[in-house]
Amino acid sequence: MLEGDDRELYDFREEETEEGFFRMEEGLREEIVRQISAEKHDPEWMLEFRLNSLKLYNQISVPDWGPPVDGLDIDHIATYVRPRTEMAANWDDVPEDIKNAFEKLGIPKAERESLAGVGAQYDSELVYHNVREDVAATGVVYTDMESALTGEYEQMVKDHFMKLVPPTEHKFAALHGAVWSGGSFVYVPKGVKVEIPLQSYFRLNAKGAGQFEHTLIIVDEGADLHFIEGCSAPKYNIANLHAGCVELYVRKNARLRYSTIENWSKNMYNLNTKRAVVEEGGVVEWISGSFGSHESYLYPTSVLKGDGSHAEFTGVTFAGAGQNLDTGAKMIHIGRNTTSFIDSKSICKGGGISTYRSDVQIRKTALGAKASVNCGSLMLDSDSRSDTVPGVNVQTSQADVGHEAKIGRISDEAVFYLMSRGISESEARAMIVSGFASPVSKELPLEYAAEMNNLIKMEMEGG
Amino acid sequence: MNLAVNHLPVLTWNQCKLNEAELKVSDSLLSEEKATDALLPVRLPEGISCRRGVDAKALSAEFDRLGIKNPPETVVAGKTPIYNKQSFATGMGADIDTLMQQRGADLYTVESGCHETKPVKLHYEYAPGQSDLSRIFIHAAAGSESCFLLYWSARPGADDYLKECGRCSADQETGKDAARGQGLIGAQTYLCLEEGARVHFHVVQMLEKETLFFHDIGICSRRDSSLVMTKLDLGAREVYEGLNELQTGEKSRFEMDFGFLGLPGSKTDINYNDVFVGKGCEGRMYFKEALLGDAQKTFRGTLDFRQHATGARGDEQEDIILLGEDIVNKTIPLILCEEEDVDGRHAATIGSLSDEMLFYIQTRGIPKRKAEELMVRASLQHISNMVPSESIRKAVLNYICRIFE
Repeated sequence: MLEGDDRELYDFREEETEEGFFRMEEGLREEIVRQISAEKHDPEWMLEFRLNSLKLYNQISVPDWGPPVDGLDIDHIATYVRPRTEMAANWDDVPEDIKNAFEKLGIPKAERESLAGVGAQYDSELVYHNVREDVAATGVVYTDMESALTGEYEQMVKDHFMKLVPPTEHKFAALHGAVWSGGSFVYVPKGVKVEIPLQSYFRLNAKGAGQFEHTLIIVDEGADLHFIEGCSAPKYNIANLHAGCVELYVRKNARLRYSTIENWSKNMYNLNTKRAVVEEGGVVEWISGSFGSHESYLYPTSVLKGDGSHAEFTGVTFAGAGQNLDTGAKMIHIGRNTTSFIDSKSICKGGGISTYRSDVQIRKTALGAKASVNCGSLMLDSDSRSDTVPGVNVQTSQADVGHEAKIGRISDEAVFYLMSRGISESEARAMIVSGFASPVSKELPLEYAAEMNNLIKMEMEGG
Repeated sequence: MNLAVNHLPVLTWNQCKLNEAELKVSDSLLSEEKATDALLPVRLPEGISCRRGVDAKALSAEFDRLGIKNPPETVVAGKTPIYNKQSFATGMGADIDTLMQQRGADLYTVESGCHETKPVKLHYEYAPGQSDLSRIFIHAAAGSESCFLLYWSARPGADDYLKECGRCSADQETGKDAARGQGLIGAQTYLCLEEGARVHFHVVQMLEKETLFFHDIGICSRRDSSLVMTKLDLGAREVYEGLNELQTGEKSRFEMDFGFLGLPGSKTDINYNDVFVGKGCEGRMYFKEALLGDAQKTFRGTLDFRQHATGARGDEQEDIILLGEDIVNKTIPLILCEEEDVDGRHAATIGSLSDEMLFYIQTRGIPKRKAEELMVRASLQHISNMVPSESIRKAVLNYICRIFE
């Protein structure tokens, strides 16, 4: 997607003016939640949902087990920043400054070349949304959440919205429930196979703001979809917050691949929640590259409810200087003969902290379940820290679980071998790290794999 | 008295209920505590001496004299500062120190010139319902060589329960065994291995099934020392095991094989940490486990590589055979690392006997129950064979056979 490998590709800023943007007062109070709801023309039930979530947010304490979030002061976060523009279905109709931002990120080009549909969110609202006519003709619905909520899909939204990730789940799920804005709604009808991916790109440009987009995807029986999510933000010297939520419903014999390349700026608190429920014979695949943000809590969860359902998580996390990235996955086996596979790679450098955290649960009903967890960590220096914290809970004897974890460094022999072929040491090390992360890059479309390798190269160069 | 024990060195999701365990010790058990019926050696081998009943203050002074203290830890989010409370870190943590405060310790000293490979056998034998708490400190001086065997067993005749407990855990619910009464057997063991010291340390527990048992271990290994440890936990209704091995010395070695049998109705909680501080130190912890009936087990195993522990290597493996329809097996194997030049690995396999294997054995005329026994025996016999006592090895095999009768 990106040409070149300069960090400025992500760090450029478009200064926001009062004329161009509406910015909600900072903090989190009932008036603010009501105002967001009014701005978004929520139905009554959604306002009630938001207010209940706010109550929960005030009751639930901050997690005590992960990276510290002391630097995050919600009283200094603007929970809603809206560009003063309507959502467009044509790039030409998007305001110039915003369009420039997405042009620099390569989004319109990617859409032309390799995507079936694109949604582009700038701060709290989608500014562009389009789906290819031939894809729309198959009955695929790909629209922004607000249109779905206030239009013909309201009941479908009501039936599924925050049912998988209830606001009671944790403090930041409650926060999301209170102030969510933007995101995508996708419905793939029975038997429809979307051959090329859909993509949503999230750009948080405003300083000291939060982004709380909600992604709701329903892949009906026998259908197939690849959805790609990208995110970035320019760097500021004060905290930004991302507390998005992704809910995926994979129906009987359906397949959904959800790929993410996350490259938030390094002042970002990325407290994102993603969960999928998979019915009989269904498959969900998570492909995840985590490179940015100051601190991350990210553990895509697969609930294998239906017999014979399957989930895979393939992820790479690169924690550089000033980053504390706590990532991993959860697999919950409920149905019979369910299978799951986790393949996770962590890399840390320059004082970065990387934690792989997972939970595999084989419930009593999951007879014949099989699960495999494989996690590898690569330490690039001794200023950094890498922890693996994988939990397994098996409640039936009729299950097979395997787990493997390994931590180590780049072997001197491998570097020497490459250097003896005329490659510089830094290039050799970058190549080895890219190879270490290849389980993820080889699962991505070519353009995204190239972007991921660029990000690794940038991190290796301390960019 | 509710004790918070077996803290995970870094916290994880609270809903997993793995961050710590709660050990409930009723006041009545503590008040009924009696002096142990320990069958201690009348004469210790030359070069090994024992000072009995050392009080907590003197024990603490001994730790100070030997310079045992915890290295500072990197402050990491979610890291439990539990060990900071202990002068000599153990696996179960500070609450056990408090519980054991009033108990005198037996302090064994292995002198520098000692090269004794025959085991010093410390045998503790208990009647059903008996309670006892004990503390042992083994100090192996520089260059010494020694072997200790710690054996907890039920008094002969008191273990007739084995047949029935192997077959039916429902007896517990019906109160059939209630008349036996529950006993509390607990021990805290410290080992300090000075430079070049070599210690073989074997521990076997085959206590009566109603027993509440805990064993809390703290180890400090110095330069070029070597500790080879085997541990078999086969009895008791509720078991808590903790170990903290602090490998402070360069090139110290720690090898451990742990065999565990979870009986129907039993609950077990394990927390084993190997902390690598010295350069080039090596640690290996292998666990072989079998869970029967509705046994519940939680396992925490940690390889903790501290900064500057260059060249350290850690290996941990857990193999679990699940033989009960209602078992609960929780496992959380951690690798914590703040040093680039290390090699750490963990592997776990959790599962039942495969249908193919069972079918193969059954076609040879061996019934399923016997096949399961064979697999459990094969798994645990490998460890019991390392125990330097033929009578205990036989007792272990008999014990396993009777479970499956």
